[in-house]
Amino acid sequence: MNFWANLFYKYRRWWKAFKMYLILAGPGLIVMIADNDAGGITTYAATGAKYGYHLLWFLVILGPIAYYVQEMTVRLGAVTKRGHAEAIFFAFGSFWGWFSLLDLILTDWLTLITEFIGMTAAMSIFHVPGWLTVTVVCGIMGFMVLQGRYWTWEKIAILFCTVNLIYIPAAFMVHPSVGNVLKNCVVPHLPPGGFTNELFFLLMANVGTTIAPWMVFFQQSAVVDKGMQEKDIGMGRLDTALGSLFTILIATFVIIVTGTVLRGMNIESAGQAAIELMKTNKYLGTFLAIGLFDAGFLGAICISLASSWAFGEVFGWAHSLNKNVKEAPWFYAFYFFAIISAGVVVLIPGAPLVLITLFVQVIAVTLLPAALVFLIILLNDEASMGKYKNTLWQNIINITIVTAIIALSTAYGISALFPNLFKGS
Amino acid sequence: MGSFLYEFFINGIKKFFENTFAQIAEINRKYAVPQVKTNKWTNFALLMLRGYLILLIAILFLKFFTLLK
Repeated sequence: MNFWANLFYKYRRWWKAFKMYLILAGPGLIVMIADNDAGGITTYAATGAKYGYHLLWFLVILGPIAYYVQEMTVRLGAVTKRGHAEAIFFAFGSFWGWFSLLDLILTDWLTLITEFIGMTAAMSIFHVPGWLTVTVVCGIMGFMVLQGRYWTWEKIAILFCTVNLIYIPAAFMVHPSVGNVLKNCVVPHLPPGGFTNELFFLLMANVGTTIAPWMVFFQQSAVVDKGMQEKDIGMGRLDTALGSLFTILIATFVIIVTGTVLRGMNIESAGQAAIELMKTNKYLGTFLAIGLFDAGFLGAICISLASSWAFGEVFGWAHSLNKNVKEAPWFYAFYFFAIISAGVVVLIPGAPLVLITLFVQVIAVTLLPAALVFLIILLNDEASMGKYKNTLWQNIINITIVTAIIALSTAYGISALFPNLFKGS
Repeated sequence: MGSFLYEFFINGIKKFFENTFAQIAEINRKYAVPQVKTNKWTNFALLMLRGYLILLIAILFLKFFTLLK
């Protein structure tokens, strides 16, 4: 009897914790899955096509790295109740504040354009014209924010996150060698051909797509808008850990698909990969196209909100999804201006979309180091963080990660500016 | 009618910019003093950050002039 009573007690405890998680889940899952945006899917598709399964181990390493960076935003948001933009203004003054805010707005807007490029490219595979894609996407994004509750927005976003799992059945359809995949996931090694400039560029691109500046701003603002408290930090951590697990799983399955079917091809975009896959198996191509559209959409909904939240925080406007348009007019005006203007740019005939995509990488490099350095300093400020400040080990891990990310993303940005620079060897 | 619209738009734009500049000035006043407690490490990190950004701007200028050539 005692055994059954204990079992029932444990079940009740786990069930209660699970229900609590369902209430608090959201910011971590969404930011991590949206991290696999249109640019991310392109990077993974190109990585798989070029090197097969050989770089899977590198993705496995990137999962914990993304977790450690984003976990800091959970603590900072839950303890200070400030978004990242406001936190920078408060802690470092207006010079760094304006620098971060304006850089974020520019980076986000340019990234938003790349998301629309991905979405229109994906839908063009189904012969949907660009103007229709942009109109429908702006309509859905408008509907998501105008219903007046953060909770509803979050649950719709999670629904779109589940669509991203479409790469899992796609990967099983290509019948990969499971043993080979597992081996490549756990054994770090260089692909055949050794360390080349092309490999270096793809490694940097994978790092660049896993940690983006908007993610830091988005998750911290989402934690604040959701109203998470210090006691919720544990669940926030779990949410972020699960999100990082999913982001790596999805990336792995994209690589499995292109690494099995398109091995040896030079893939320039995920849209191109979808078209090539269509030639082999129309369902595979369709799955990749749907996934690409969904990835662009998830990126767009998060990036546009990250900007609107940041602007609202600094200008002191009402800036919550829990407020309606009358209560927070500037917040929504900024949101709609960002998505509509980005969508329109994609539709302009002859718009320099390749240049914009290139420029995003360079501008992101100027913002990412600042955002990460500020994050570490803020997490060490005992006056505002109290017992939630970074421990010695957290500092060792986070400073190592941040230093490596800054070095790699800088090399990535410079290689985007000067493509021939690293072709010496 | 034309002059009314002209006045309306000119005044509207003028008012918008006046309000925006006033808000920016207010934000600058509000956040004039950095609140984070600094030590030699944070000062060093911020100094490195400034140096890094200056270097990046220099690289961007280099790219710009390379393109001009």
